Amino acid sequence: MVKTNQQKRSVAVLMAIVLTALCFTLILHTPLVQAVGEEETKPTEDYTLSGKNIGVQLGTIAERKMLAYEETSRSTIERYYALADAVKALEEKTIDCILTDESAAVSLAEGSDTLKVYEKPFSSEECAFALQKDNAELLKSINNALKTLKDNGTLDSIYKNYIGPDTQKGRSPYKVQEKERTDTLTLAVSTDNKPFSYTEGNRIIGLDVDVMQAVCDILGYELVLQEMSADDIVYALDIGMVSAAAGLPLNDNNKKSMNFSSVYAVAVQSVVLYEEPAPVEESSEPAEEDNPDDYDFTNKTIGVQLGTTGDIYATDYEDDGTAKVERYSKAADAIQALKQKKLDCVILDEQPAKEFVARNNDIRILPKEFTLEDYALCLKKGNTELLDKVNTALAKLKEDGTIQKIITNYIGTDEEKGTMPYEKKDVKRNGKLIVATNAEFPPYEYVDNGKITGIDMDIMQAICDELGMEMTIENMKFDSIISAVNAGKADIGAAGMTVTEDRKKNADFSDSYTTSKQVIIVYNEPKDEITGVDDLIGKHIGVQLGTTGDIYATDYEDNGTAYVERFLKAADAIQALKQQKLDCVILDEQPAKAFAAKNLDIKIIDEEFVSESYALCLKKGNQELLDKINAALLKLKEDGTIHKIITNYIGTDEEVSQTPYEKKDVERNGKLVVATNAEFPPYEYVDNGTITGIDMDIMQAICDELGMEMTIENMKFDSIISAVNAGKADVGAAGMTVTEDRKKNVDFSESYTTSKQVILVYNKDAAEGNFSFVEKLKQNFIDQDRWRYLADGLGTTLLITFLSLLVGLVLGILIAVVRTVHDQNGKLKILNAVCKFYLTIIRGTPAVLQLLIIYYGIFNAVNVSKVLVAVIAFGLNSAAYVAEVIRSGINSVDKGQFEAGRCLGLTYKQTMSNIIMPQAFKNMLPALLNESISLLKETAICGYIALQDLTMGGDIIRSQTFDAFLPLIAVAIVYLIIVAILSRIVTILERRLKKNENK
Amino acid sequence: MKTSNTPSEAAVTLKKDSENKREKIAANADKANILIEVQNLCKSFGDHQVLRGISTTITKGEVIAIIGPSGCGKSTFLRSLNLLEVPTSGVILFEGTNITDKSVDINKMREKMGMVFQQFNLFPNMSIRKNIMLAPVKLGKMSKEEAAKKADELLTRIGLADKAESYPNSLSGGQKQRVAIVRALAMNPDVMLFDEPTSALDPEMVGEVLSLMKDLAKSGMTMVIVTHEMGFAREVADRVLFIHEGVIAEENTPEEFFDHPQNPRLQDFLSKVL
Repeated sequence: MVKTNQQKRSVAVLMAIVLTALCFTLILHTPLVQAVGEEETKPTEDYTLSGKNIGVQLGTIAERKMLAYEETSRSTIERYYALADAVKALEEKTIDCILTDESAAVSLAEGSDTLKVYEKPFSSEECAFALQKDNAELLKSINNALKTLKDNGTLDSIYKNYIGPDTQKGRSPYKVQEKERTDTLTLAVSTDNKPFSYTEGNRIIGLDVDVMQAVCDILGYELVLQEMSADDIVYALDIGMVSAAAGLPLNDNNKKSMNFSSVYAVAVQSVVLYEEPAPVEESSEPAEEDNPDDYDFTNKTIGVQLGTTGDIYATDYEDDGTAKVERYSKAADAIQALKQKKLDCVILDEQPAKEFVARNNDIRILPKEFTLEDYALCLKKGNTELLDKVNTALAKLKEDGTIQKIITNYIGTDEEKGTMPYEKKDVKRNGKLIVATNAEFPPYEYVDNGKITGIDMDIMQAICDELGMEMTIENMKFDSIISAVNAGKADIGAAGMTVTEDRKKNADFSDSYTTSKQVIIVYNEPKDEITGVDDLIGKHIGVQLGTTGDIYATDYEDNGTAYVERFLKAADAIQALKQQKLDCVILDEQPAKAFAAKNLDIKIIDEEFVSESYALCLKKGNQELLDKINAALLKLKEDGTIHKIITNYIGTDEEVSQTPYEKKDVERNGKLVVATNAEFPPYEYVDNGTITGIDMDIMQAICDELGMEMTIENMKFDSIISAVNAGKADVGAAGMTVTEDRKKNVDFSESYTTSKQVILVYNKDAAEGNFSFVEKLKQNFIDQDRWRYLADGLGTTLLITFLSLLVGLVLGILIAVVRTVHDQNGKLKILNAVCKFYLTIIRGTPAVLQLLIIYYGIFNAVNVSKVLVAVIAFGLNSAAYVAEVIRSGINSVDKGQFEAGRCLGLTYKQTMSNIIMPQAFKNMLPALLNESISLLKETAICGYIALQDLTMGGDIIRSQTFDAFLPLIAVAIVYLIIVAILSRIVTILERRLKKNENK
Repeated sequence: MKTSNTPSEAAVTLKKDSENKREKIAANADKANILIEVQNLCKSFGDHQVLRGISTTITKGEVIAIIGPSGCGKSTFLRSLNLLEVPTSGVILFEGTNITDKSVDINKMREKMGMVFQQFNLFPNMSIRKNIMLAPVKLGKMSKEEAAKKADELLTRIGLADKAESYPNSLSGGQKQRVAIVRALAMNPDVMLFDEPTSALDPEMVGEVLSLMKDLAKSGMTMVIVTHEMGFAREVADRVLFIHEGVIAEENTPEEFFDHPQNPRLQDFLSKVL
């Protein structure tokens, strides 16, 4: 229809060319101009419509646009009454694309996964009214009116009424306003320009019409519509037949011969394409595995537990030869085989399956269950009396919620588990009920601490309590249970037994007490990369010893799901992570951020490991104290005290121990008893016999605020709340997380801190800075004068070595003399025994321990210089070795020398000091040198008491630059040089002494 | 001499008795000009009894040679005289003092008893002069200058003045032993004890040492010499002792001792060594 109209119009145009010269130009121009306009807006290089099946909605701009394509036979146009029909055709691939208004296209794409709007718009048309060239006054007033309409949203609502998604079309028609009209405005429109102007019934409507109506409403004009063909409009406007025209393209040619009002609408046409669902998703989770109906058991090896329902189902596959079934007496064995890829899958009950999957990261449960099944108790066929009783009891237990409780106690959420164990009731019991079970099917029945327990056992106990009978459990193989019941060896079978038709032939079943799912477990390649907390399973986790990260990671270690490596320093853990000796490091958020900032190749993963708010707990209703404490907390937060306290314990390595809280000197009235559990560093722990930690410091600060004396009561964590409630303590401060359960029992103060633990992982993607050797040298030693750490450390090392050697020599000589005197004439028995004891202790224990014991054990209460401690420790250690060196040196001197001296009348002392020792010294010089060299090297353990010696200096550089190699090599070289110098000196000394004797 | 004021206990009485005895002996010694008196000297090394009761007296100026087979205890006897070996029992009176008494300062006694060893025992870390000077200076007998002068005198006397600055390792065995002798003499001892002074020497060096000892004897020094040099013993000694199995088996003037030995063991011994 439309097509033929258009052809007629073209013919009419040709006729007009012949008729008038004036018209000639104009008429010829118009279609040409229109064609050019279309060419310009077409995204030629992008989506090409050529040769495509294009769907359009009847009577839309798009339809008109497509006419040109159809005529040149480049494309096929399919016209649809509703856009929805076009979409359907597109999805069925009857058409290649849909051309429609942009807003409609966007809304289509938003409502569907498979539809997509082609990036580049197909065309973009601006709508404006055309006016006579010299009518500037009218132009101005129309433009003003249009602006008003735009501002008050009228234009938008008119636009939406005609253009856009089908759902919105026709919802907001423009209503002509009642108004006195002084003049008329004639608008020329064509009626084939849907949706801008067209006839509906016998009225002309459309976007253009409505907009002009709105303009006229503002200006107080009477709108008169003059219908004419598009070709006639230009002419009519030119001769002043109409005052305005709509639907003329805004091109340069037209602009020359007429005025255009401001643009009141932009009609954008977009291409909608059909897109296949993303192939990436498909490959990651193959549909066939995710759908149990489709899980292909063909030629698979299925693992099952012997005699379970999984076994029964799997046997079907075995019988028709499609799969191989391996039967294990224990589910755990089947899982093990699956993990070793000896099986393709394991069919198991949902609950035990979940437990296995939770403990093994390399297996997973397919999303859809294999079967759903009812569990029931089995009885001897025909034992209706007992069956009725059992069913009655079951019904009662179901009603009063007992069964729900029992099940929740075993397979609820982690918080619910174990919280509501079934308690055997104290009832009168007549007769016994023998229950047959197979205690290898957790959580339904299993052996725990030598006792058979589980859901079924608890339910049976509850039933026995109801029936007033004594329960006796007979543990047997699963496949013996039915025969045991039938043979009368057991009264009832309770073993997570599914009701099947086959079984019903052999035994009677009670009502079902629970429903269980059989699921398929398959092997899952463990995920290498850690992107969240769940990925920690099976990983090597690095933590800093004694931190909360350690505590949390230990949970993973305890249940065997991860390996935890504890480092003395966080920096060491980071170093190990960088060398990929660890998979991740769990650390407090603040230090972690500091590390990540300095190291491009590590990153903090988005999901935080733990985030908990800690608060103080008080007896419920103790509002007065609560208010006081909250006020104090607020004040301490505001003045930074709490931040300081926390940073003192869990800041970066540089910040830690820098801002200890000092107890204030205030007047104190009354006592505040604080209950804690000093086993949760850094929040509370015992250090040097006193209870300390973040919580303790905060409590002290609060007590200082309140002017109260603090008394700490150390107790078990789970006793704190009851102690607070019993009034034995006023406040509980124990890194206690605020939970809903706890809130029921105690009141909580405002939270004083949030503990956030994050996971650091190696960042494979980060470009590793490839510094040159020189740059590295500069970074490690020159930047920030880092060489000073080595220089200062060397000074300390030499000082400690020298002083220790002196102490060692003096003490060693004394010991050697005592031992020699004892050897020579048997005197000084007690002293000799003491010396021998001393030598045994010192030579029998590691020097590190001696140092630590002296620092922490002997000088724990005294604040002495660490250098002094080191000198004492190494001096004592060295003395033991020096003593033995001297003793053997003395023994190496000929006995005649001693006799000669004594025979001259010299005393023992004179003989020793004048004759023996000088000779002995020469003999023992090499040994003494070796001792001093090993002493020098041994002082490298000074870092254990945080004394900055040479090695520690290297460690500090290491912790700043995270370069393990250079600082360590540098330290080693320095040691080597000193040792070389020492050796040289002694060689010279030895040679000189020898020379003397041969003169 | 000690006296006790503590009253009537048996022990005290006994002590007084022994003191009286000692007084008598001392008086006798003075009378007979006795320098050393040894009474029933016994010495055991563990179970092995080396000296089984030796008694003898040595008067001032006397030169005594001690001979006997090896292992007979002659060296042990000599070393007991200045308590290099502490006797198990018995009494040694030196110039009237019982040096086996623990309260006696043995160092003071040793100052008056020079000793020369088979192995010389010079101090290798000191020059010859220092070797000689050490004891007199350290014990306050002389000032450094005096001691140095004395050392040089002594070295001149033995013809080794040019070696004063040398170290022992550069001397021959004979020279070393002569230095060892003058080192002992530097203390001006009352008696010189020689423990086989020539046994470690090469034969050509024995003469120079014996000749120095002969000179020493002539000068009137009291000397006790353990030796295997029978000719020297015969020529120099006033008396010769033969020790066998821990006792003095025979003692006599050299002439009687060597020409008319009484004890069959001595006869046997002499027949082997002469």
